[in-house]
Amino acid sequence: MKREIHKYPYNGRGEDATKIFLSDQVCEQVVSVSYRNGQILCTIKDKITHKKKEITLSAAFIFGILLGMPKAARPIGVTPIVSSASEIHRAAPQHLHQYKDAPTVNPRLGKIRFIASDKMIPLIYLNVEQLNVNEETLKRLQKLRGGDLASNLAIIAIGGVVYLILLSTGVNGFAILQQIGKWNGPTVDPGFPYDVSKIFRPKTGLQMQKPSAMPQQAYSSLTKSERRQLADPLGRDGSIEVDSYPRLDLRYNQIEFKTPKHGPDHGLTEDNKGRTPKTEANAIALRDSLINMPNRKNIVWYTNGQYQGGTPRGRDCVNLFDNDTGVIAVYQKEPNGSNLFLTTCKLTRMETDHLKANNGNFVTERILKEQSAVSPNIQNNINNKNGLQ
Amino acid sequence: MDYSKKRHKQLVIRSQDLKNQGQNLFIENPEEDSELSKYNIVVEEQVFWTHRENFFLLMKNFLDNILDFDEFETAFSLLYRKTTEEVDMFIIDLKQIDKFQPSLTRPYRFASFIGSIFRQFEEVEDEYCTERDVKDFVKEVYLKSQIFQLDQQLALAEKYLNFTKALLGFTSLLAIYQVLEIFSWVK
Repeated sequence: MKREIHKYPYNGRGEDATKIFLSDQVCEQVVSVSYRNGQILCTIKDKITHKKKEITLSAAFIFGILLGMPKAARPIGVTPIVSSASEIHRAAPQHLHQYKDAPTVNPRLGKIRFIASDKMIPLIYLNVEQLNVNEETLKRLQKLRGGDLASNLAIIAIGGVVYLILLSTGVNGFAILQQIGKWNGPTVDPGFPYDVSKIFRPKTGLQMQKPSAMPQQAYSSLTKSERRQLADPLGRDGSIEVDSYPRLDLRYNQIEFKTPKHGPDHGLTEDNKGRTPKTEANAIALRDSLINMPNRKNIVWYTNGQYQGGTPRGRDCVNLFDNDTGVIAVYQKEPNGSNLFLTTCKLTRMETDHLKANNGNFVTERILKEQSAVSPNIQNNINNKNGLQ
Repeated sequence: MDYSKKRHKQLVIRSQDLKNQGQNLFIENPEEDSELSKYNIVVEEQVFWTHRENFFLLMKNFLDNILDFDEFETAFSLLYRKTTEEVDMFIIDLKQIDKFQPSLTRPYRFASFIGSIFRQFEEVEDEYCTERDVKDFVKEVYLKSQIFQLDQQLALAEKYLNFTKALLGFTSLLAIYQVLEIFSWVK
């Protein structure tokens, strides 16, 4: 099998002697190499694989470039041979690396027939043993994960050649890299007097802020949930005041924290993950929906309710339950007498059943299962007042 | 519980009538509301059970680490909400209730386990439990469900086996009778 390797027009001198160095591994696969009229001809054994051919041909191509460089071949003081115009503009032959056995994906081999590059990316991180993929797809996945040896070596070799060419022409490659590095981002002059980290820190209205009157030490000692219950310095908190019922307070940061998971329970828009985007507008919309809850029909106030009552996490609460939608809003009773918004969600049927039968004690499903708090007997929960005021 | 379709439909009609008047069964008659709630739980259980394969698939992928916690939470929550919406439609649809055949033989409530998993996502966010705890619970639910399904398949296989045995016995008796007939004819 013969393959011609020639990329650039070259003014060869017939049968000039040319030295070509091949590694032992490559030598084993090459039957003969000859150099004629600016072309290198390699005769390669038929039995070798396409990967080895690629290495061999790449090596031969690189040597061809190195040895065929006119600058190196022409002795100093000899009259230069001027190429004719037709030779200079002659189009380079385009049959380089024409493999008959080039890797292709057979579209009929498996369930995954063809995977577009953008869809391949998530598959890189999957455990391939779990996937029903064909051999070709598997190869592509492995290639994406680590790359194949032949192409990596070829890229390194070409990079090396380019670097040598740059050096030979007097260009400092590292100076270019340094220049590129400067384009990556802003650099700071050592003489710049301000703290850069403070200048470039993003500040948004959604970030939790320390109240200005509170000492830093006291703020640092608070847990995340305690910090969310601090008054909002931007005045986005809300409150509910209904005659004959206790006042309820809603802290903005706590509402914002609950927005993604429970925005949909209040009819807010949701993304493709079923969550309400955590934006200021959505947090305020949830706050307004909660404030409006007492105005809805069929709302029940459990002023002596509980959250996870009967468990170590149990706490006294004021609970508002919407009978039409099954949505609850929980306000935790604080030692200072205030009632702070804790959470809101749509109850499961078992949770609803338990809430109504136990004077507004909202116990989550998992705990109900563990405690078997609700009897499966249909008659058990009938004779109660369900916590109605 | 003893399921009564007639009573179930009565309660649904009453609840819907009150709703159309802007009222609520729970406020008007808590006893009836509690009774209807039990029927609704039976419906919910049945609807969730029909979607069990989808829930099992997600659970298995999570346990096999094909899905990470966030992916599992998203997919599971979407499926949970979709199924819940289906239940909400079912419990007010008298035509569906008319065709409804409850399965009261299951020894555990599948929907309740699913609800427990769903509720735990918030517990993770509130830092009351860890992702590891959720995974352990999912494993428990998954294994329990698989054992139950296996039991069901075994029970079905036993039924077929008993039927085959009976058929074989009957055929044997018939064969013996035929042999005796032949002997009597020879004599």
